[in-house]
Amino acid sequence: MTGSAASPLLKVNGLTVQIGNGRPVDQVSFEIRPGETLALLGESGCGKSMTALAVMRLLPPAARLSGGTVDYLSAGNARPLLSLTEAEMRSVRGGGIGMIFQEPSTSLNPVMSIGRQIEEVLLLHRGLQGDAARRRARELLESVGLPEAERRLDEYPFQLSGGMKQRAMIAMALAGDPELLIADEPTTALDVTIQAQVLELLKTLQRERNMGMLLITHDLGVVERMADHVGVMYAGQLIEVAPREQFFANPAHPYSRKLFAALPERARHGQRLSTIPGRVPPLDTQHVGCRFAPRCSVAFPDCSTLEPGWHAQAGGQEVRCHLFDPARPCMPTLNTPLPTEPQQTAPAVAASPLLQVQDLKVHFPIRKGLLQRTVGHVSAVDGVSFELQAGRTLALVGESGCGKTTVGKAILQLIAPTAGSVRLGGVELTALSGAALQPLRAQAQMVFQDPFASLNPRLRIGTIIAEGMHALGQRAHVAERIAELLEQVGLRADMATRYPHEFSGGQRQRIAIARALAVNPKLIICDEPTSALDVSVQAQIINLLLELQDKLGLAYLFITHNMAVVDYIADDVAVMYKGRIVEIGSADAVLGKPQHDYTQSLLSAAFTRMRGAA
Amino acid sequence: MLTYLIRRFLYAIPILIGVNLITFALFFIVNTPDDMARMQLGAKRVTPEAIEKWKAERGYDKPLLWNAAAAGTAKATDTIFFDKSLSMFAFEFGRSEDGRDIMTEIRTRMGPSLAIAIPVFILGLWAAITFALLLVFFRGTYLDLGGVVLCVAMMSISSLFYIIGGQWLISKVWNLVPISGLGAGLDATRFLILPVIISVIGGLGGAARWYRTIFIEESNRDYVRTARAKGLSELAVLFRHVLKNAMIPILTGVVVVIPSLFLGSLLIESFFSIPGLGSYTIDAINAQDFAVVRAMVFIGSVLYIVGLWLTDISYTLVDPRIRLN
Repeated sequence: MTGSAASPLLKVNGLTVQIGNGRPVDQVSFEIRPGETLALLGESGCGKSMTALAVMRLLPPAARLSGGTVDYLSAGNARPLLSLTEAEMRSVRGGGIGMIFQEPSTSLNPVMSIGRQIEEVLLLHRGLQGDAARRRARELLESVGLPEAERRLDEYPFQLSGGMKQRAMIAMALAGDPELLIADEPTTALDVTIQAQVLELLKTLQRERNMGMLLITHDLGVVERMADHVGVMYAGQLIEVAPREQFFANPAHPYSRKLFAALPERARHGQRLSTIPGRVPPLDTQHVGCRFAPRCSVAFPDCSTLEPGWHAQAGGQEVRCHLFDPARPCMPTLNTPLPTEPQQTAPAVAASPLLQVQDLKVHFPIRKGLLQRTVGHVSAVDGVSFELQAGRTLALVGESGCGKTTVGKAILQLIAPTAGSVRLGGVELTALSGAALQPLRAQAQMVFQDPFASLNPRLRIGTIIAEGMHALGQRAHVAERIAELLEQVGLRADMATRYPHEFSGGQRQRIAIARALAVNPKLIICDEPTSALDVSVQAQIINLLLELQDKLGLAYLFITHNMAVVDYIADDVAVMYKGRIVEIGSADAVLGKPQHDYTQSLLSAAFTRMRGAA
Repeated sequence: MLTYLIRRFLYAIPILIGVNLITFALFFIVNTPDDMARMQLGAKRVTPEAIEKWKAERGYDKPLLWNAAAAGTAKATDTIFFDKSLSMFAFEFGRSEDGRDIMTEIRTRMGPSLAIAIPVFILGLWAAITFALLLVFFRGTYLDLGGVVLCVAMMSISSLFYIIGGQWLISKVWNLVPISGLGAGLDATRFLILPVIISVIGGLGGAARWYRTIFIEESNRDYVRTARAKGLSELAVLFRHVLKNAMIPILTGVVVVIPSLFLGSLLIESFFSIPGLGSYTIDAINAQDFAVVRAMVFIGSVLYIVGLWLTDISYTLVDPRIRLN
């Protein structure tokens, strides 16, 4: 690695975790030095979190450590973590090694005050009690930039916003003055601007305390901001390790390259995104040869029989792939450009827009007091206007709570708008009700964020898809239509009899899209359709949406906070802030020359590999 | 929070009125006073005159809802609905078949009922929670498995078996405590031990298994992982984090029965000849004493509503999300 003189803080060697016959973590080795960040990068199910939990010895009951060593080197003496007694290990957890988790709203105890949750650590690892503990807890909250720290001590997690909860979580992890911080997807659940703040905070704290950090993430943007070294994991193995600059300049492993190629960005607008076919192999796969071979576009016969070894590259980069084996004479070239399919030009702009939204307002009543009288209103949406042509994509961008989802629901009349007009194909929807609205429902459909929650687990997917057709009285040829829809979204027709739980996240989102398409809509409102998905799966879904748009001339209202996706997919962009649209225009104009302060801060906070920043 | 409690209290009023109306419909419209008279008089003595006499003696000869023959406000008040049903709001239940005042009877029988019900409630809750925590602490081991099997077995055995088996073994074979009855003052303890123990054991299996499920569900949550990552011991995690969160669903099932403790247990009191409200109700049902049954149904409903209200209060104590919103 780099010629850093400092001795490592954590040495992991051959770490292996077993669940049944499967090995979610298989022979993983790495080192972390004080003040240094190692980022473990990979998609869900590749064993990153399991590695972190194994280091802490906090594995779920079904999993067990079956090999390897973890040495924690603190103040000159090495402690083999895997052979400590449980009591000794407890002094390491929260003391020497602190940990923060992905979802701050579920990772804090809901019925214990923030102060008490921090004081618990102070008592355990610092021996502080009473006033001293409270004072220290307040200092910690101040050091993580939580405003009004004194008041926050007595508050409960539900009273804090997501970003504030994550700050409190960090304060808790720091309470034991750890030398190493394990951060498991620390910003994945947060808004873009908050993400940037939390990452910045982590970096500052790391510098102040010369803390080592094991950062687990699936987000290349986070890696670029934070890491000194990168380790890419796939199917339980590390397959590439490299210093950050080296990794971003020249990702070696075909999987790493695919991760980059799958990123949506403006430069790729008009091309299909590169996707990784197939999915991460299930846990109990008995691997022969290279684990990535079945999905690799440059694999050759040996890949599926011989397990690749580590091959060192220049600049401290190491990769586990046959292509880099100097002993191998015939090496397929890796640098062929990834195949891209040309995209048809968008259909000519129709004379009248498909969707016209005029001064849309949605106010929710605030009820208070004994009789629950309405004492005021929250303006969730406060005068929003835009137009959307057939066959085009308008991205509605903003942070959570800005009202973008409410706009989507109000357009579909799932929430009654307080004022304003919504015209779909020239028909005013707000004036219609009940039965009159029914036929128009077929024209506009919605795809939701969480494919796990938005499909009824007790219905077969054929039934889920057919429901919309039945509601609109279509009885003939339903089975044929279901088969056609499933093929259209890249699934097999015989899958109609299965239940949602048998499908992966990406496949479920395909089902959700098939369900929306069933009634031949002209407009699909996509509410964060990819934010619960991994990067390569996200690329598949985005490709599918674009393909369907070409073929069927669909218009998309794309609600998202992911600027990279917006950059890639949108024709027009509307930026929402506190219930209003603060900026609207073509994607090039809004993203290229943002006028409004908020758009600028949103863009600067987002991952900036897009506009030639890399 | 105060407005929340007041609002919850106000919700109870329409429910109470509804309960009263339903009781009235059940006891005077579905089952008319004539039917009551026939049942009380028995097959042999039923003549139209006897029925009229029986009804007149007990005030059942009045019109149901509207007395057209009376004057002034008595048109509404001199009716069965006003006398027998509305009066229950003032806890006036009239007299039973044997001529005793029902409310006096209830007051004297409340004591023995509570003397069993309160210890059973406290000991039962304590035993079930302790047993469940023990199983959760050793979850995944044979102790846990054995405990769950034991719970299911205890749930599956009829409570009659516990009562009769306990009386036979402890009182008859071992001769440790009296089989049944109740003594006065401190002497009563001797009589109460057996029914209390049997009730606790009878309820233990189901409750412990249910609490174990709640604890396990709770201990799979993310915040428990956070607590472990802090370095807390497994006991601290269990007591400080899991138990407090698990109390929220547990309280839902538990607090609601507290007021109903007054009513005692139908089965235990009958088998152990405890002169409480449970055996009073059973006797009244056997004797087809409708005045008493009506009173107990109404009181039971009122106590249940009070229980729901107490549940709401207890939520505000354990869950800051309700207390502060």
